[in-house]
Amino acid sequence: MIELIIFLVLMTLGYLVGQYAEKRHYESIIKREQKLKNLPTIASRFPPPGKRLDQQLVMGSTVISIDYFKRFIATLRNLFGGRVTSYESLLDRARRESLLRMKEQANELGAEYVFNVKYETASISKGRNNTIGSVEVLAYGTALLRPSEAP
Amino acid sequence: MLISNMEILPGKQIQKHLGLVQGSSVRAKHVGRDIMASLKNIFGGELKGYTELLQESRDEAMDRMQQQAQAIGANAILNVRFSTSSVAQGAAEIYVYGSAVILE
Amino acid sequence: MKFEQRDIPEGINVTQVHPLRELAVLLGGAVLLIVLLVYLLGLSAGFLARYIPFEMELELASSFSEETKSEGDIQRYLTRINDQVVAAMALPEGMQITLHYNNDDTVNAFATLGGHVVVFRGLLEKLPNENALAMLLAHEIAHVKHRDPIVSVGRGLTISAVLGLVLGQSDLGVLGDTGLYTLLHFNREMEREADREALEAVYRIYGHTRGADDLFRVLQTYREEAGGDDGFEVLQTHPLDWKRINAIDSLARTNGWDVEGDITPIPETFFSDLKRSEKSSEE
Repeated sequence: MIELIIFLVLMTLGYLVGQYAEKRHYESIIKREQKLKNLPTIASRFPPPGKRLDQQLVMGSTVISIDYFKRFIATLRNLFGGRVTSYESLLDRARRESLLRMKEQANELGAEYVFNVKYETASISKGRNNTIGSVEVLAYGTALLRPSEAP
Repeated sequence: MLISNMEILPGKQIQKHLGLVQGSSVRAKHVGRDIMASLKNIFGGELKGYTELLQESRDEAMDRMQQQAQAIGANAILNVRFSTSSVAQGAAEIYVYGSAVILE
Repeated sequence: MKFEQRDIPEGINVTQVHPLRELAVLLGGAVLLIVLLVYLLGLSAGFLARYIPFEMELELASSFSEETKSEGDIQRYLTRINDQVVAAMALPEGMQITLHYNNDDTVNAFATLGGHVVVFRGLLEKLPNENALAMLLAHEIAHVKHRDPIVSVGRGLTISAVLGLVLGQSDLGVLGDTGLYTLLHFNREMEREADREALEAVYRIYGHTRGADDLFRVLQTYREEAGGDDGFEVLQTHPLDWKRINAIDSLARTNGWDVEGDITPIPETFFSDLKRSEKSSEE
């Protein structure tokens, strides 16, 4: 009985807090994406020819965890198969957040472009019973900087 | 929609870069498949259920990436890369991304 | 090189479905699956368990038989009644009943693997007459006759093994409990069958069924005194006492068994023996 009560409390908490946090996070992502809209991020390797630009590696990473409620849905989904929707939004948030952090870093350096953007995903904590709850997403690329004016 | 993992297409000019587009998909197989797969681990050999699972995921991820590209008016995706990760036991995530461009 | 960042619409990489809705669908499905699984497994495991030879059951329970020490007069009286009941019940060949007296206040009795029947002092003290005692023993022996202990052990093991396989890798333990309620239902069916068989035995011994329902009255009074969560049948293995009283009453009537007759008392010496036994346990 106690177990069931703990379970229900965790579910409710996970749901309410998790939904709220996700909504807030998406709002912040969308706002920041708009702000950095004009910094091009491109997957191609070859920069535009002819220009002399400095370069530097930039990266951004996010470790994000799933809430109890969504993890429960995911384990249930594992019984039946199909789209694991609760992980979709988790990964979407992680990817966009990582890219944003990379872009923010590039922006501070005064980059004109970020080229050769790549993503790396890793599940870092296996958790109890191998139910993995958190993922790390790393986004990295080469920022092409306006050459410094000095000497 | 032209999808390629090259960055330059011979004989074609890139008119405009539209930035990154991406598609992802997390899918799981029902528990029966999971159990069969763990049995198969004794004998070795192809895990048909999981091959199928990853193929389905890949198709869906590609489809989502194309939807994104279409939505912003691109007609090709270049330099496409795939990545696979296991986010949960028995579930696979396929992630695919590339540069959306408008070709002349 | 021209570049233009355009807005990608939201919701392409995330399926738009309300989490609560998904939870409802999945949870409903999972509960259905588990109940179905438990039901089917329980049915088949229970069916197969009946074919395990009784000798094997004896071996499984061999460690059990040494535990309780006999208590002289009490044991002798109980064995006498037990022998009467066994004789009236036509047990299959090779099946033997070993009766154990347990010197403890618990108001209970149970049958377990290998034909071992345990009665506690707490319950014996409350019994008003020999007919009720015979009913009690007959009920437990009926469980042995129907192979109920091995069936429920077999069921329990199979179900927990398969649920472990299906739910094993995840933390869905909470769901596993839903299956147990179905198990209880099986148990209640077993109880009803045992009641029926026991009443028949009591009729064979005494020529009437009067006094048999006293057993349930005793249990009912005890439960009411103890705190009486009488109303919540789902959580109890046994059917409610008043239901059992009604059931055996109508059973006796439909079979034309005499419900009136002389009640055989339990000898006073037996109760004083119990008292002495209680004192000796306190020392």
